[in-house]
Amino acid sequence: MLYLTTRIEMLELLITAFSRPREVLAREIAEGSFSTRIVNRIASCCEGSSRCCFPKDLIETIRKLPDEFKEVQEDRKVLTILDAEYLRLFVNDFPSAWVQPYESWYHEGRTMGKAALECLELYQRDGLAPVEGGELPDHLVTQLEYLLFLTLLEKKASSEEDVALYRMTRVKEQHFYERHIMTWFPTCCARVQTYSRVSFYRVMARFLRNFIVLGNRNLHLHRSGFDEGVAHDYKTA
Amino acid sequence: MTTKLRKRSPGKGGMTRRRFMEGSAASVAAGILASRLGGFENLALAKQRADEVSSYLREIPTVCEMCVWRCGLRAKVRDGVVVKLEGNPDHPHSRGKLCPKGNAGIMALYDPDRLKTPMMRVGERGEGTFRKASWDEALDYVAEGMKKIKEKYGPQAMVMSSTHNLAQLQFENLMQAYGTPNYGTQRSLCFNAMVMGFTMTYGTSDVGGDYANTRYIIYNGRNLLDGIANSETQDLIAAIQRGARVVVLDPRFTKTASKAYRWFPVRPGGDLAFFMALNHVILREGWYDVDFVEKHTSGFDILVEELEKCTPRWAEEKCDIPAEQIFEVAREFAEAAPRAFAHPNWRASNTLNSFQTERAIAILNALVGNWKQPGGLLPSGGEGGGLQLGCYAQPPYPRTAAMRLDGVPLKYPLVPLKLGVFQELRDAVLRGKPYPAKGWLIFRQNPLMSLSDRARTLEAFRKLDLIVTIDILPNDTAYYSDVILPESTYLERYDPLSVVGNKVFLRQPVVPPLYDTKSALEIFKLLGERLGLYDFFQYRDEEDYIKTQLKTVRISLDRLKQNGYYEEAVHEAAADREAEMVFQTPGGKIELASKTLEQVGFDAVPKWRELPRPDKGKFYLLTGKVAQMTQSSTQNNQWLSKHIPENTIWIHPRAAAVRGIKDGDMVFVESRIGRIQLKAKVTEGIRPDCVWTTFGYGHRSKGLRTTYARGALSSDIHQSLTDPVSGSQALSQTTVSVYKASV
Repeated sequence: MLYLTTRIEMLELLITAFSRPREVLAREIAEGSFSTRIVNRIASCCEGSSRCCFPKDLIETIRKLPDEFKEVQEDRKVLTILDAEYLRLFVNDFPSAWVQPYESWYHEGRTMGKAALECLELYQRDGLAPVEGGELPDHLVTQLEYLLFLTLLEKKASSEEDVALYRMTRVKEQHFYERHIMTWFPTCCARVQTYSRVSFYRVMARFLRNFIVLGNRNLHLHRSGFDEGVAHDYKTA
Repeated sequence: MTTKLRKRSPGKGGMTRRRFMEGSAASVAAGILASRLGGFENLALAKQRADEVSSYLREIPTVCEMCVWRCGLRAKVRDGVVVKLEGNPDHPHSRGKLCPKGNAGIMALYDPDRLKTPMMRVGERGEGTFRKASWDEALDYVAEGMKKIKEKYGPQAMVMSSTHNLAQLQFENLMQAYGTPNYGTQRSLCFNAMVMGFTMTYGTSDVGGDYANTRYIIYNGRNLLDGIANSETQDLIAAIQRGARVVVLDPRFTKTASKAYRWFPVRPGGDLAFFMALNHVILREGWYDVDFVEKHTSGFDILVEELEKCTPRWAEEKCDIPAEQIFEVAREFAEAAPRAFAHPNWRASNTLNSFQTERAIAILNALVGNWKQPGGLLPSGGEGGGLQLGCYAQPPYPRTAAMRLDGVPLKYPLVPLKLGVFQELRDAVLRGKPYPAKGWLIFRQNPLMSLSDRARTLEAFRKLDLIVTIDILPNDTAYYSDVILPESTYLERYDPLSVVGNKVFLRQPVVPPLYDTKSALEIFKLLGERLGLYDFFQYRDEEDYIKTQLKTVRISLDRLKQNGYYEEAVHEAAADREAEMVFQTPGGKIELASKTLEQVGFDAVPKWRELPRPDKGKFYLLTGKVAQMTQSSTQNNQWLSKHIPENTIWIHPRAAAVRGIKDGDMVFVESRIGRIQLKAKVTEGIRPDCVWTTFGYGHRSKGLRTTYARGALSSDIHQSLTDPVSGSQALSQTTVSVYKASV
């Protein structure tokens, strides 16, 4: 069971992990605070439960993330390593296979395909628009940001006991998972796990994969008859 | 990435439950976004509410860049996404139609392999390991490197190269302001022979045919149905439909040959003999235009003397075209004249005598007096001609004391500086003589593929301290560079204006740049300023540059953005000048015998020189175009690649049978300098002593995921041989053996 607060915090961490690396991230990875935060979040979501949502070996690997950079003395060097790997994996690279962070690529082999247009429409419905100079609408991080947006909305509805907003938001999340996240995140994560030379990205990809599987399951477990009606309204609009 | 949002027309529909809910969500969106510490980086509050947004199709006129023909197009854009490209009916180069490449321009924009950020090499050169850099960091590094080279070795130690494009003039501005004379262009790899052949004859190479009125056309190696020049290809088809007779000389049965009235599978290099024989027949039979020749040409007697022995029978064994048919073509051409023309082509058969072949073609046209006649040859008034655009007042460029590395003008005295001899430039870099080159700035060009003998180009790269590439794709040259500066695609940027006769066209962004890329105009300015060349880059931005260009033209930029083009009325005086018979040659006449050529020790009139034939069992290696590809720049385009994913080698069934090669077999094609592996296409559409493939495949850059390791590159086996007069590379002089790759 992933509580709302935990989901929000985990999404924040995942967005940071899959955005272009910054010095703060490099420092936090090297000193271990980044992995500690993830491990703590995982621990909090499973508190009181006999079984953890995430595989034990994944938690162990996350815990060991700083080990990779033990030999690297300066944070700047950690950043250089992360930055080069990020470029190689997600942006441009020459000598080896890499990962496309755009949903359209997985369906049509291009950027700005139908998936991107659908995402744009979803964002517009929520009063959002892609930032100029930011990532494309169907980029992994943009979709994570939208998921975070929806989760924050869900939290707001929940705290204000706005049932209509809560149900509509849950429907939107379900729709976004079904139509977008689940259609390509698992493949994308698998590719990162295969091709990344830096364990940070391999581990984060596995974490992300587990996170979305849980998130998706969570949404389906709590689907009510009333939700179906709202969902129909939303999807056919 | 932004989306253009438009208001929906008012009054439609009431407040539905969904819209109410969405409105509520939108109203809380601001609070949600603000609630996250640090905000969202890729999503922001939309300027309009969702219920005010509608999908709205906009049409934005701009100019294509999928090849060098620069067709006008209209981009259809919905929600900030280009959904269709269509030919602009008002543009003289497209007339409402686009070729396959033009249609596939969308996938140049949405190619996931595009260069997305400046990059700097971190591993060994050629290892392909880069890191992301900011524009400031990358440009500072390049400028610092160029300054160091200039201070230590002089500006001439920096080589700059570019291919044909609208921003090329500004690239040349950067090069001249920096002070290097070493400029490499695609010209010697392509059309030096034609440009010089016609310039030495007519004083201009800006020549086209009057397709609308012609009755007879002779093409020599020009394949307009594959090497598409949109409007000219349309003209050719229309001419054929109207009944014009087309004669095609090509060792291969091309698409153009398939539409021809006569196709001659000419021996490579033998085309010179064919045209000399045509000229001989026309002179001997008295079919030339006596008045025109007397009034407007010089050197007639010298020509007659030289051609006396060049009978069709003499030519027959040289070009492998029966004498009777040569005579027939001469007769038909003369009968149709002046509504007939022999096309200037690009580079004839691409051999060591291509320059003299072009001269013979130019002379053939002159003899029948078709210059400026309906159906004959016309000064094309093509790009760059006509309207004069405004420019900035600049100080003079620094004087360049150093000699050029490409041997112009010492070794190639007649080759214009603008054309140069690119392959010689590369060889001089490799030799380090007459002086060493230390840096190479490459703008939208891929010398590692386009120059023959790739191994030699790679070797030359190793001699350099600094290699910088400006491009949109991670091509092979980028792969071997130290710094990569990503340019925006033609659908995302402005370029300097395009002038076609009395019309001026605008290339403008139809969508904002998808990634951290810049236009060439901006890159040159930022680099120029870092080099201290402020006076040469006075524009604030691209729009400011274009506004200055428009100062001599009566249209504002805003208006031009809407129309895409502006047409200036042609004055009568200008129209009269068009009709004048003025030739920019030393004697003011068409030079059948060229004094200039004679003065520098070349043949004043075309003379036959026998070129070596392939040894027994070997083939001429020929290359040419396919309609879906532009050189080496479009193979990664997914829409185009689907049609021709790899190149094949054409081989005649007899030659294939001897070698046990069947259609689809993998074969080795081996020259003196290397070996490539290709799939065989066994076809009767090629001479038995020739093999043919298309250029541009065999990319080594794994950054090009669609085309990497598909096919093979002819430049790996093409030797660097150069026509001594024009500096054109003579690709068809390379001979190869072909054998099965596995038994």
